[in-house]
Amino acid sequence: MKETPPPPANATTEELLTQLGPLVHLDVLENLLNQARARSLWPLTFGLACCAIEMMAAGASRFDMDRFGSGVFRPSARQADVMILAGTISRKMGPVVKALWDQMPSPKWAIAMGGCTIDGGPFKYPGQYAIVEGADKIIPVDVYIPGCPPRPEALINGLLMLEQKIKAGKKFHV
Amino acid sequence: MAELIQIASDEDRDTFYLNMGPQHPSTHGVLRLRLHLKGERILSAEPIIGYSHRAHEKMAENRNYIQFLPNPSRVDYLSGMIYSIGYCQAIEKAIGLEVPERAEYIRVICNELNRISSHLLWFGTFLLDLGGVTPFLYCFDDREKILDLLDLVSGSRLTYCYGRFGGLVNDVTDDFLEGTARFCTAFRERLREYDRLVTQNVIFRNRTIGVGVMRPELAQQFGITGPCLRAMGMARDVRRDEPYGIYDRFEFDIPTRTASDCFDRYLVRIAEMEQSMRIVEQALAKLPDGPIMAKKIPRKIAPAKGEYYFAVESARGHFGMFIVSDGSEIPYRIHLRTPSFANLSTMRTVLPGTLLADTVSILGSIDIVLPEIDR
Amino acid sequence: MSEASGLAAALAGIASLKTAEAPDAKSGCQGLHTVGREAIVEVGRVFREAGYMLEMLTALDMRAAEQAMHVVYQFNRFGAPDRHRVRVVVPAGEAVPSLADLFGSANWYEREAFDMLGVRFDGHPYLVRILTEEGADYHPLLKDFGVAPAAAEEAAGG
Ligand code: SF4
Repeated sequence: MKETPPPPANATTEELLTQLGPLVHLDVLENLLNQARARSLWPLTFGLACCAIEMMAAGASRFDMDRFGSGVFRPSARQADVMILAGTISRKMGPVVKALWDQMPSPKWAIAMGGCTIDGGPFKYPGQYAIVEGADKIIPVDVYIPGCPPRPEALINGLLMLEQKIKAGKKFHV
Repeated sequence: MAELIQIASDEDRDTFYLNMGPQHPSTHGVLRLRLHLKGERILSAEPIIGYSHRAHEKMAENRNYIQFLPNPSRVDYLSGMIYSIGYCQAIEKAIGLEVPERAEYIRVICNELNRISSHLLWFGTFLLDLGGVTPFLYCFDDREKILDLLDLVSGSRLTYCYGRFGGLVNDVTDDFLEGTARFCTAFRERLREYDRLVTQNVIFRNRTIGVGVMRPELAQQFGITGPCLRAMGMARDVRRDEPYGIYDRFEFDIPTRTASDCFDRYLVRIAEMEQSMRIVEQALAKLPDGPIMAKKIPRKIAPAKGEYYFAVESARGHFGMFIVSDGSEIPYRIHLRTPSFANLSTMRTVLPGTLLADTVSILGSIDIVLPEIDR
Repeated sequence: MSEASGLAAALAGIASLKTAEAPDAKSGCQGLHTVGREAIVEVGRVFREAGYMLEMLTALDMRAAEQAMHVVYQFNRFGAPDRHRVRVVVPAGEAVPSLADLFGSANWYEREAFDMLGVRFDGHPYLVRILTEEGADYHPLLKDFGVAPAAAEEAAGG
């Protein structure tokens, strides 16, 4: 760690933290945290259209996403750390999705589930006025799952890929 | 006490607006409600829709009749089979195409299985909204069995595109027929279990009986259809009133109740699943051999110039297609009259006066699918 | 039966109402009518008193052929269908009287027709957009909005 000049005596905690940055930089710890994060993803309860039903199916008795530590759907964006975009994002919904994304605390990830969130899917045609053609136009997406709708197995596969990505941390290569 | 009421009636200080949705676990998708509240009581409610508007009707005007075929099952993805086959039937009627017997029977079987799966999903989510997680796991178990069966014949689990103008794309296999028969036997038993698990549950009864009563005059005012209407004591069902396909050949009852509260809507749907099973069993018994596609299918699907209306009974009510043709292969206009649109618009009248917590059970009990409302 | 003949008599009393000859089964309707826009409220009242519901309301963009919009009302009763399609022809850009006072469902249907096709309804309590995004300035189902059908067909792999 490099030496930093001592902060002024009357500095607030916030200023202290900004000046000093994270107190410890330990790759090992960071990795450890990532291992933990990857295995307990809490998705946001958030369905947009048809794909949401398959997301529910993936969470229900047969496919049971809980096996991978990601079955704890949180209705509040503030408690969730992965957003599964399941369904068509209409233009009216776009700002809401963005607001929800901003409300989620970091670190956070997004999964685009289904053709609609990849590029507009079945609703893409010249002159389409109603939908946002692709979730990545509004928020950064980590994993794309094609399908209309993707089967629950595909969603589970997507979650496992996200786990890999999180575990790899900075070493992740596409 | 009198004083308290005095203070509470001070309008400006005690009322407030609450925004519910569009992301809310109990609005079944992306419905938004603007509620004006006084304490816990709702003074006025305005559903705000359109968050899942996907321009189906504009798409219809931009492609030909065949290319529109995948769309209807995405309008209402819970009764996708009924919608997509209904669209086929509408076009068949418009161009005067006869469908082989076997295909008609298979269509009925698939439609009714789809209806059961839709009601099952409603059952699970409705109870989930009311706080019961267990029934959700039970009903998805049964639902998966239906999805497997439909997957077997149509190749998809949710957004089916099984019908074609003049028949069906695949014939059913023996696996499907045996599986369906087995499912019916097993599901009867399960329905009884659901009954034991839920219907007698005190908390459930307290949260639904007498809650969300729709006054009978609303039926005419708003054009309510489907299970909501039948819970008002009117035995109305498109399958019976204007039979499409071969629905006039089956014996089934139209379950009705009279109180028109959430509990009755629940009972009507449970009874409907039973009736759907009766239809499936009759269709299985009578299923004839033969082709599944009509012999002569016109290469060009172009209904004569004019206007057509065709209605089917989806899991939520009267689904009508208003098709305007100018004689070409591309529809001039297709308007979809969807049941939940009318059913949801009653909320402005039904919700005021109820408690905030009951909103969840009332919304759940009318069984809305948002993309079907917004189209 | 008497109810239906009573309805026919009441409809016959409306001057501007023209009833087409028996429609064929394909149209899905039992009665096809055209009425001047000033009489639509009267027609709505007749149907409401006969116990009919407003099943569907939409509009058609016929500006290319007739420089007019068609507003299509469809009334039906519960039970054996007796579907009446009533059509009001309005010059583009002009308003139609609203049925929102008569039928609760007309409120949203009219908002939808306004949103999608820009038909205005006089006397509607809250005629604002219902489906499209906030601040939209287009009426998507108008024929001159969007692309030509041929181009779309090509893009769809047609
Ligand atoms: S990708 Fe297909 S199934 Fe998923 S929301 Fe879009 S249309 Fe529906």
